[in-house]
Amino acid sequence: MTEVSTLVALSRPTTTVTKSTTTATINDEELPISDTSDILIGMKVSGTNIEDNTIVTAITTDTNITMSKEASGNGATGTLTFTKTAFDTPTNPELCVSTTSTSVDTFGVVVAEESSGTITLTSVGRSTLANCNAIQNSNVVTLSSGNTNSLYVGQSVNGTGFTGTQARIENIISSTEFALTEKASANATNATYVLGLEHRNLSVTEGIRIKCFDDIIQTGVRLNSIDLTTTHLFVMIHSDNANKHHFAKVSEIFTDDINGDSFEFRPKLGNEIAKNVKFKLFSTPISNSITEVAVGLGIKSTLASSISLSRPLFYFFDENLDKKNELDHNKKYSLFYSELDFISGATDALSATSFFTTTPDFGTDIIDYSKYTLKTRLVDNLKNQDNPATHTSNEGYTTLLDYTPFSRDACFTNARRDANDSITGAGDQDYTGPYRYLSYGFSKDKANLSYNVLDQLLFESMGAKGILA
Amino acid sequence: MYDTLIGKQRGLVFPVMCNGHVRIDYSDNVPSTSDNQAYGIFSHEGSFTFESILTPYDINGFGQYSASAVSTNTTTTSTQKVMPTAGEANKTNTDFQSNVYIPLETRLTHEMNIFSSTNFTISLVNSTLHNENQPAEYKIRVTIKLGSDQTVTTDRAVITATSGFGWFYTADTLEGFDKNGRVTHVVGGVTNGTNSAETIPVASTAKFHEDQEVFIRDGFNFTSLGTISSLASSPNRIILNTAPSSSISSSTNIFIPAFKDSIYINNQFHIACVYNEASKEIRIFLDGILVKKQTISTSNTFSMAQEDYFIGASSNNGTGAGSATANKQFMGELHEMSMIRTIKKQFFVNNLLPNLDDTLFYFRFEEVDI
Repeated sequence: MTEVSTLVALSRPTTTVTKSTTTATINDEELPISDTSDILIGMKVSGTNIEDNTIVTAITTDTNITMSKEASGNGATGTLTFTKTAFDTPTNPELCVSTTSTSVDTFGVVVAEESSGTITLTSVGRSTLANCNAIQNSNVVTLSSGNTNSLYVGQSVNGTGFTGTQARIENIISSTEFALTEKASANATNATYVLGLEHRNLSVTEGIRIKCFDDIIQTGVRLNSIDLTTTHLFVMIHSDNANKHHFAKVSEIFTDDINGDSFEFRPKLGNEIAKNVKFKLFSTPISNSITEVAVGLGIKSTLASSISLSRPLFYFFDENLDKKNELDHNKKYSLFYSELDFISGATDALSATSFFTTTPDFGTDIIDYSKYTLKTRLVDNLKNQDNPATHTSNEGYTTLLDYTPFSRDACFTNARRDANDSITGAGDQDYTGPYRYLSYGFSKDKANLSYNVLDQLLFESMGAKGILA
Repeated sequence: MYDTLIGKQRGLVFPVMCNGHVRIDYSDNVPSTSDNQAYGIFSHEGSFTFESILTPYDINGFGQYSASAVSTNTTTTSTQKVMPTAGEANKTNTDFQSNVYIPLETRLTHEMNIFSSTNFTISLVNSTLHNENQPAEYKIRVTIKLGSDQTVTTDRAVITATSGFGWFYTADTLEGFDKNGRVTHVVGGVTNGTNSAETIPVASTAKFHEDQEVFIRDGFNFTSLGTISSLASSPNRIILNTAPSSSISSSTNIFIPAFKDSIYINNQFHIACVYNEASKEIRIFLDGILVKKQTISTSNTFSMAQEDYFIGASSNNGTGAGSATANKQFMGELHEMSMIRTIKKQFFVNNLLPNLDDTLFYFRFEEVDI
């Protein structure tokens, strides 16, 4: 068995299932439990000898589950707690990110309107340097071939002996030697180092701007080749400090001394950004098929245990949302995810890993304005049937797949109509059409007309055209 | 006094192919049935006025009578307000989700309950023969129990699709305009012989289909010949459900309706039902205009049943294939709804202003978080 790097969105609080103690086996993803009733694929599981952020990836028998991570120890698990996920999540849900890589310390999440496919990310400013040689406990790197002409002081370095560190070029000694800010943890012989995954602000800037390139000393990353009309460019500021992460979208690239040497981003970060603040840049082509609504990239894995899909870790495409900085209610979303590995390649692909639906915007009570104030309830059978515990197709379609939040058409299939109405076979089902859940919408303006008003107090202007009484 | 725009009204949206309702639960509101302490609407007897402001959606969709593949006509799969396309050839084909939800032949007569109870139900009833160039058109139906169920339905569809478009020249529309210059009909075919009773020979049947109403031009008027019961070829001919009253000569244009549009999906309608206990008269109003009245000959009195009431569906509350029919699922938007214990003769049609003392219920369907 292999561990699975994945993530899910947690349902609203207090929705947990507990099972009595069982016995875990170290380094084994299989976990025997008393029974699997009420257990669903995608649930977060916690207990003694269970790694943090472990997710149920399969239910193999009536008394056995598979976890995304291996058990951390042998012995009793204590009471196992399973947290419900994916259904009825808040509009700023908590995410459970189950990372497995030891060589990559960041991850990325993109929330999009229900869709599949992949989102290709490029780390902007990344380059490689071959034939690097280092000696353990020394901070000097020697090139056996090539030269240091393209390097600059402050450039980040990742590679053998400098994995997972914040190593940067401290000094360029000669055309074949340079010194780093860190000492090598291991010897390296003719290794290829990855440069420029992380950058520095090159001067003190206002809170919406970063100076990314200095033309005089040829330092930093220059953005002259990026076209913001065809590319989304994102920046993770304070990329080295999980407690200070601020994720934003680059709104404009400027020419101070030379084209592409500074940029502005939204939302802003305070009034001023200090010199040498670290940042990472990610670009992705603007997609016609995937509608992103929230993006968070370069998030430190240390936050995986408690990451909320909210600012400042995520940038929200408010133009695609009803309200600012939160997802829409009663909608089905895709979670695209990847542990961002730009060491082994210049690009990384985020794939649609799991799916979730958000909670309705308001409760099921409807107010009766008569003197009797009757109690009334809104009943949405489709929503009820989409509850993973029920998981029933309203049309009784026979090839409905077993519930899993990791497959688009195997969860919340009543939320939307089939895209082209054709459901000939399982492969033909594509539930991406208009939504079917009951909801609230604005009535026609004339419905706001109130007749025979004796008097009125005006409180608020409606734009420049009228008055809201 | 002023007429003022106040706030921003919201409505409860029942999308096409939904399955849900609002339930006024008797036991939630009346603590004990054994003591018979019912109040308000649960104990109401006698006259009443029911009013609702709503927007119905089109549950027909743009069908194609002869099309076998949805992919040839998928324009209606992108909106919550129009049912996905269903071709006549696929009217019972379960390969199409909308057909499983509600088969084409059923949706043509589908009833959508606005308010439902044992003793009083008001609904919209789709009254169409086919769905090719034919959006759903709704009659209003009221069922009141006065001893036995008394059903009153408007004589014709009162929420209808618009028909026709501004005049422009094509071979089909050249003679299809009316006295106002609007093209209300287009040429479906030309006779190539004199009719024999119900059978009319035509040059081509390509634009005709069963259940389609056909017309001939008479000055600026278009006179209905009836509906097509079947088509035949070699030679091409259409067979009507009734013989024309006069002979149709050769080379006569046979007209069919011009493009119809379910424009009502973007409008709102005030629907009211007034029951007068004294006269036993039931009146149905649309946008404040009386569209049907009927007096029931009975000595029974009206009273609401002490039970759960349903808004937007019947009490069936079913799920599964075809359940929308038994559920009498409403698809559209409910903006306001009220019921009062007195008779109204005139109405404000843009919103409801029920007198508080007389109100049995009044829902504005504004979202609330309590």
